[in-house]
Amino acid sequence: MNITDLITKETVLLDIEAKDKHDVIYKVASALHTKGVIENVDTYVDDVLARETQGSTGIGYGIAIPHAKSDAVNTPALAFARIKGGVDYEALDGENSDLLFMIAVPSGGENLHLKILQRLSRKLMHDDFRDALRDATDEENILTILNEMDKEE
Amino acid sequence: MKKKIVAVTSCPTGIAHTYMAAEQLEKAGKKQGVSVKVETAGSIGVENALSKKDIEEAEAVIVAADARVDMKRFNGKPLIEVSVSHAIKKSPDLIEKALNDEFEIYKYKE
Repeated sequence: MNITDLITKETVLLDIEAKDKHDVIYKVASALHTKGVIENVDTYVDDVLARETQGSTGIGYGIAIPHAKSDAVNTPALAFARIKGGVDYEALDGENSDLLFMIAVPSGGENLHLKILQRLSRKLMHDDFRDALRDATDEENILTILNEMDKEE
Repeated sequence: MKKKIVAVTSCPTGIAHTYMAAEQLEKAGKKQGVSVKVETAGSIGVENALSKKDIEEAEAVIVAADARVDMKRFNGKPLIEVSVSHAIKKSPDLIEKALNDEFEIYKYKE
């Protein structure tokens, strides 16, 4: 499985506006819903927020990675959002978050996608990778960056 | 011989934080010229598991876990226990403390 099997142009949202954490989660989940990945947006958002109460997935460096295993998810998928000006995501370092990867995983089922998320998580710790995501000019550009990540190693 | 540190990272969902912390520890180790082997206990299961030899050879142990980890094997080693998010933020600091012998000797309790 490649990362491009999980994310497509329709789930890359560039420079969206969001007023708070809930708002951005809802907007990105809606994109996954439009693509048919999520059956019910409200159920999925509730599951994501439940995970957030165990500890914010705003991990600092401007990154948030909301995720949930949920009955509302049909197939594993990934969405990316770049948030204009960032949003208060209750991040561990107190800074605003402007890069967000949302991970949707069906309850039960296989775990092939976890390897990809593992690599993505490691990659997000590198400045040059985050800079590339911030400098990307369009959706295609984001997919190219993620694809290159996949080819490494 | 190059100094060696071993670490374990783990988080409740085991999807992301485990690996972010592992990457930060490895990165910080590289920068400070010390070998860091990190066992990741994520939802895929345990990967890069620490061998008995790894633990013997290690100068210090870093446990960055919000989930349960087998601690018995570290009995008698200089060790620090922190949250996984602490390792994501403060890996260079942890490695430095490990190299300066600032950890206390760990005593396993049943």
